[in-house]
Amino acid sequence: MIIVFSLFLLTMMVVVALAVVETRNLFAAAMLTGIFSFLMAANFFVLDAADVALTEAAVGAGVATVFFLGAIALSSEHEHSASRKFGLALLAVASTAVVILLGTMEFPILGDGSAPVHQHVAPWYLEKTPELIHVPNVVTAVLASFRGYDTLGEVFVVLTAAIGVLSLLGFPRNNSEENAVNDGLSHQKILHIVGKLLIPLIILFGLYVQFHGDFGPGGGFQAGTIIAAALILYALLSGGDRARRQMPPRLLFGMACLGAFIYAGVGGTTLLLGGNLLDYSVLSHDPVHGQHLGIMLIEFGVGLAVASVMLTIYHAFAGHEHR
Amino acid sequence: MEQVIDIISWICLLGGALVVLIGGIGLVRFPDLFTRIHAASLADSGGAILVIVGCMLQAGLTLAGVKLAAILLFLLFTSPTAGYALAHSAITAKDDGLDVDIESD
Amino acid sequence: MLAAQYPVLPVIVPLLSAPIAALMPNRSLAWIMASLVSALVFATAVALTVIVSAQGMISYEVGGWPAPYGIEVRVDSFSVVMLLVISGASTLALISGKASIDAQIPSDRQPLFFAAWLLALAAYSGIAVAGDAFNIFVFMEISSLAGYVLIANGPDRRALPATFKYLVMGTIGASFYLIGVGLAYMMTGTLNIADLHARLGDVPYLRPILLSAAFVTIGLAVKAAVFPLHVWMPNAYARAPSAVAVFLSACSTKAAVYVMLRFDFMIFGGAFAHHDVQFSTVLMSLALLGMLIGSAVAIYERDVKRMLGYSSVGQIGYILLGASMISLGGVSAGVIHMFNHAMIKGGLFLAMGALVLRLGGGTLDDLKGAGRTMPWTMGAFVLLGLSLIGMPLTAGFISKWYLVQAALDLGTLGIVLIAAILISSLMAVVYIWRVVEVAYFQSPQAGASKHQEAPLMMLVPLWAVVLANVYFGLDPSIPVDLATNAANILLEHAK
Repeated sequence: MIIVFSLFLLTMMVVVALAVVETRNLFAAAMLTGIFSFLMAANFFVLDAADVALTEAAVGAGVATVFFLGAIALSSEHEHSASRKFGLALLAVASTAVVILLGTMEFPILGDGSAPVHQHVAPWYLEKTPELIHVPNVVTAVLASFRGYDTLGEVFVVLTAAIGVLSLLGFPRNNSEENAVNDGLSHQKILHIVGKLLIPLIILFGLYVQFHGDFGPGGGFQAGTIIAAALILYALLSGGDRARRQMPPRLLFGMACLGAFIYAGVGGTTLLLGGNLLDYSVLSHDPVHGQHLGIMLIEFGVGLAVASVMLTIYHAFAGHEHR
Repeated sequence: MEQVIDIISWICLLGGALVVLIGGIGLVRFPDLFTRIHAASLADSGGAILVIVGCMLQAGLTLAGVKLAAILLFLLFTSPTAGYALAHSAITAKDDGLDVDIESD
Repeated sequence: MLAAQYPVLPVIVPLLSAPIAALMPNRSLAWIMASLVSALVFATAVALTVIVSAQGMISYEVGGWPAPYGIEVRVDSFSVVMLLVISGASTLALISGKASIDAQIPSDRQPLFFAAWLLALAAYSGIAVAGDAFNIFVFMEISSLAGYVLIANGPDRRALPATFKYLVMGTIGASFYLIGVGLAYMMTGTLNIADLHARLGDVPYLRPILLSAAFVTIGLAVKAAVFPLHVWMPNAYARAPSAVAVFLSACSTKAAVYVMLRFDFMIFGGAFAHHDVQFSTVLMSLALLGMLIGSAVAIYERDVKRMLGYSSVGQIGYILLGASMISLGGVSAGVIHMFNHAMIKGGLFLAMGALVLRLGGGTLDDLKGAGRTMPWTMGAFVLLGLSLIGMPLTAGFISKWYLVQAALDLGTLGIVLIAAILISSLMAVVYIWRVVEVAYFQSPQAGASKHQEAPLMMLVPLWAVVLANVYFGLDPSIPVDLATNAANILLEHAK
């Protein structure tokens, strides 16, 4: 049954990918990439990778699409019809595909318990996590502690994105008083009321995902994106100027830096306390308790950084329009 | 009793699937934007409600059932709003002189 | 106690300071912070070099978890060469770059610029000390993103298309690398480099491993600007702010070459038969083409920064030529040239930074008469140019000497290689001579008499590099010892 689902989803993904390449309308292409991500998320879910599916749905299908739309709003909706030199590109892509297909013939079969990935490191994680870290969600244990150094890097990838967007577009500025205030969609009563009703619930859900990460799918990356989505919804409903007045972009960027600094700071603290980098065990007299504390702190840093970076980038795009 | 619930649940699930399918066909076949919105929102609300109710009957009074109920509640708010927003912006665009009719191809 | 933590300091210190630098209210404070951190990283790199030379490889368990389960940081002779290059280039570029950064980047964007710089420094250092294949990818992401930001800050709008091209190519390269690592993980269940090496030999199916090797090597070749995948590189360096060109020309392509050598020697080398033959056949031919064509294009380039970029395509060729000989002499010659070329090219871009600051542009026309108006800067340029050509008593000569010696062991093929090295060096003479001719034998353009010598803060680091070039040309024992150790480590795994 799973095979049928996967095949269906993968076929749909190929179709969508072809449509993205084919269409000249960038708005349609942005929407199609959103659909592509959503199919991908469903595929991850079929493969029981709930954490990855949640991230893909929130980031790929959600926020990334919003960013694409923001970028399109700043440029043009239609691709320039430049001369389409397909030949060489097509040859490169086709030969890469053929090589990959040849390679797949010797891949382990889907769901094969004797595949190398299930034999070496993974059993150790499954066996040791309850004892060493004592959280039910092994994914969180791997992500935040066993391979916490990689996650540290990923948070800084996110921060670098914000730094990049800001140094290219600059901090968004609010319109001065005499200019007509952009009040978003607040004249559309139905949208406004339903949206306002949903925002607190979305934020509540984001907090649940943040703090439930130890027990089930979730964690800082997903939660940060969800909370950012709620605040972007607010900016759409009430107008960017008003949203920026309530949460100034400089404050948001400061929070993003703070989030990344918290994660790196936990690493620095473990060094000062005499442990190795990101060895949370030294944070408390009981190693397992130290692990809990460390994971909670860095997940908080991740959530703060991700949410603020998403909002910073959104406002950098949306605020650019008025100038 | 269980069998009765199962049967009702399956009727809901199949009915929901049928509504979504019909909505999908309508989305492709209908002549202009507004009728297409009609088809899309029919699938979005009617189909989704039936499918979720079917799932809830399967889940019973468990945590999953409560979660499904919450999802249903949200959908009841969001899908009509989405349909409204789409139609509203279509009307606004039409007032601004944009051509919203889709050429049948 | 802190000495045990040296391996991660080059990563965590810049990471901790980057968010602070981004929020600095004042451009000078951000610059001071970036320079201090960079100098600290350089000091750590020197300390690590001493420790590694005395005690051999250091393995460090991040998070306190043992190797294949947690992430390993591993510092050996090869890592410290890379680390010295990265932190040295960054420090010199920052100290000398104050004036040119102030001239080229608006002051309100400078805190962000220095934050991106620190992130790039942390990421390149992270790549240098990484012992884990996926960890390398994470830092590659940061280094690329930060690199795009740094280049996009270039003085005019032409920086943007250059960045975009680099971004597209860089993303393809990184994705290929990731696919390759994913395939290797699928067949072995591990991401640790040493563990990958140990387990790949036992994998019964070779095709996915072959595929993995191909993806990793090609992906990194894009990032390393190996001919013919170099198209992004000359413009990226030419349009970047002058200080960024110094930093990135010294370490961005080198970091990719570094990872490529680690993978192809330490992981794939021992995994399947004939990998060495395939690797050396493909890379040697690409290296030769790069050496000849890169240098030839450089001759016809009128923008000196782009000329230096094309020259780098040729120089990457020298490094790969050494590596593709798969002998102790060849690989160590390649590693020596990684070190020396970073020093030479970084120095040349430093000189270009000073020239552009004073003359307003970097084309041959702008440089007319610069030998008279800016004698110290042009003097340094000429000496570094001689080193690039490979004159005796300079570091560049040492690279070529070891390269030629290694080639002599190869018999007839070696003669061909030596011929190619000679031709490429002659072409270097031509393109350096064009600059010298314009600068010394043509009179300055009208109104150029007011040009004055570059500020002392630029001249001191520039001449430090020149003197280092001469010093390592006279007494090359430090790079040669490190490179020989590195080559031993690489080749030991390849067997």
